[in-house]
Amino acid sequence: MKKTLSLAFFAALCAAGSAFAGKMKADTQWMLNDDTIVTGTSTQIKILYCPGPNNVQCAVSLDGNVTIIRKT
Amino acid sequence: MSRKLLLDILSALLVFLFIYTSVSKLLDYDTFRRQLGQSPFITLYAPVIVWALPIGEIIIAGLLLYPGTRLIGFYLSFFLLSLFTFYLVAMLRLSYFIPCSCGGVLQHLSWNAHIVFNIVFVILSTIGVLMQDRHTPAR
Repeated sequence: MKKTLSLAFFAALCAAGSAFAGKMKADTQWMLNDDTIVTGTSTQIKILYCPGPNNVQCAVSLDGNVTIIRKT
Repeated sequence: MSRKLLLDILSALLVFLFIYTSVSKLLDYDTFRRQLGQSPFITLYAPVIVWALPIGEIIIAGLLLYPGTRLIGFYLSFFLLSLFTFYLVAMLRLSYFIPCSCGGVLQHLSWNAHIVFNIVFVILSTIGVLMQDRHTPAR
């Protein structure tokens, strides 16, 4: 039982740690279609600036990795 | 690989999934609330779901931690993950707007990848139910 508990508890600890680490990561800069630069997570940018059809590009990340947010 | 070890690994995977997504949702509470509010099917219930979903996920993870409650944890995991999958398929087929209310890195998955991901975890929880059921000694 101890071993079972430790494996599952280890998974729970790792999960909580990963979630906190993801949250603490610096926000990304994004360029919107009108060339405006905004900062935030992809989810925040989607919600705040990208309403509309899903197949239309809305924002591109400026942190080196080319990540595109499509409107949602 | 022994059946007990396989059950340990299955429950650890599900615990990781539920704790990670629930903590991510709670840490990004405002965004999660707005996403649920945008969802065409559950807008009315968003104020309840915004708390019930992460708390429910944490409770299921807690049930999966202990061998005595693990079977019910596997059943609830199967139910919740199946519900997520049906919700995703319904959103993709019936809705024009598709906001993702997923926690953490899962929000970066494409919709099809998300459905495949969910189905894999539904299968894992099904295996868990079947194996745990046999593993539990008759009383």
